[in-house]
Amino acid sequence: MAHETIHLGLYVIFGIIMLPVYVMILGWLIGKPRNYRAVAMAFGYIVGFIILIIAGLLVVGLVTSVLTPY
Amino acid sequence: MSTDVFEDRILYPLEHTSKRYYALLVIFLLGTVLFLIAWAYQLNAGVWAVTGIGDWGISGGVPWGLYIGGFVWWVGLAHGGIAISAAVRVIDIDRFAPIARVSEVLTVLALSMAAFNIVLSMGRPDRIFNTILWWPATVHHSPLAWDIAVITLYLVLSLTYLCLSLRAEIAAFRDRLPTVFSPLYSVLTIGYSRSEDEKIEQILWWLAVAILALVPLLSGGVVPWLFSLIAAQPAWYGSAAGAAMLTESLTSALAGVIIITAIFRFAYDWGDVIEDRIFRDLATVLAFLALATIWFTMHDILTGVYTAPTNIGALTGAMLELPFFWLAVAGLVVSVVALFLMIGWPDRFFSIPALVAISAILSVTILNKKVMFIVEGLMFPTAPPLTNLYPSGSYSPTLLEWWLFIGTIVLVGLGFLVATKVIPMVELDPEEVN
Repeated sequence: MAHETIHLGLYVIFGIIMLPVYVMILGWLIGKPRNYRAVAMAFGYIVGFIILIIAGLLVVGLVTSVLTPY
Repeated sequence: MSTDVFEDRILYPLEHTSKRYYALLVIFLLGTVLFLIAWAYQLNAGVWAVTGIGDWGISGGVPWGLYIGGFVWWVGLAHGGIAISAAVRVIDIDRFAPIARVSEVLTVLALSMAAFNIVLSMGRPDRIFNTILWWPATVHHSPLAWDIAVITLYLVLSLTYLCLSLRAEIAAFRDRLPTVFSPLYSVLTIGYSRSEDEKIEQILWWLAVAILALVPLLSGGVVPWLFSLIAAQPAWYGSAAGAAMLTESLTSALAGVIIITAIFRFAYDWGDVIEDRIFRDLATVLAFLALATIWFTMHDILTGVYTAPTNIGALTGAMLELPFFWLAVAGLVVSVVALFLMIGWPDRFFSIPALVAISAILSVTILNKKVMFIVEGLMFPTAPPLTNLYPSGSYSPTLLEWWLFIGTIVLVGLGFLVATKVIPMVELDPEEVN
């Protein structure tokens, strides 16, 4: 389904729901003590978990697609 | 209790494994096998064939049932768990510190099960992957795209919180932890140095702030919006759904935390670690949350029976004739009365087994309410095209659905059994290491 316009939902997700996350990241970067290595590591954890979840879904999806008759 | 003795007590499960533990592990592994058999059966036969859950595309009927009810229930449980832990860090409620770790683990496991319930309801797991792949398009109209987005967000934040808070602890107590999990500990403490401790504390503080702020935005926001923004379903539509659902979610979450912490206290004889007063505090909060749940239910019913629009009237009438509804009301009322007796006359009425029993009643009651809310809303559609799609729907969970749903509870039990042997289930202070 194609959507020409930017939907209200996107404003809600990225404008309201994600606000605490933006504030958190700002706090990490600006807050004392400054230690960008630790902040980079926290980002590393976050990105790592996202990749892990999506990759896990991909594997489970592929395996079940092979196993099921449809 | 001296620090050394305290550490010994907390590390005991990691250093010793009893026969009882193995027996439990076998039982839960068997339960997991049964779950996998049932899931394989559903995958092969198709969701509609084994559950009668229809779809809006071709078969009509009620398209959401116990699985989606289970999803909402697990999400609610998850949001309360880590909120307790985050509150310990942000608002300095140190008295709850002994149950913070257990609550964090509960959140991670419960969220995984929330996601899994969606997989069960969708049928094929690869469809979830498609939803992610096409997210920019599906986010405009698919509740599932929202589900996936917020569950992933919360799960990633919770996992990061748990892992970051474990780094210093694992590095400090590494020599006392089971060697069999060494590779895992190496990954968890990768690049660890003591100079990072202060900053990690600060990072965790901000993470806790974000997690606390997300509780009302998700359990009282996105999850209710999946229902309350749809004008065609009379029982769902309305702006009070967010507040009502958040209250219910926190009720079941607190009940879940009470049950799990009581099990740990009993299993490892941690009566001096997780003291009675923690349970008394939790019981007080639980009492007011359950009371608020009754209050919201009263609002629902009064709105539905007093000169309501046709469909809402019909729906509320049907609801009042449903034994399940009165079972839920009874569960809430009995729990609230018992909890206030416990608070008012602790010497006579307070006991942890009784509190666990009430928590179990409340958990089941909230699950019952969630499933009723979803199914009833789908039975009385108001506007086309839904009215044309299924003029009459009926639904009751099949044995297989119960089997799979209870399977998710078994998986959480298994997760806890494994976690107990991998990480300390009560936070230790790395500074105390001699």
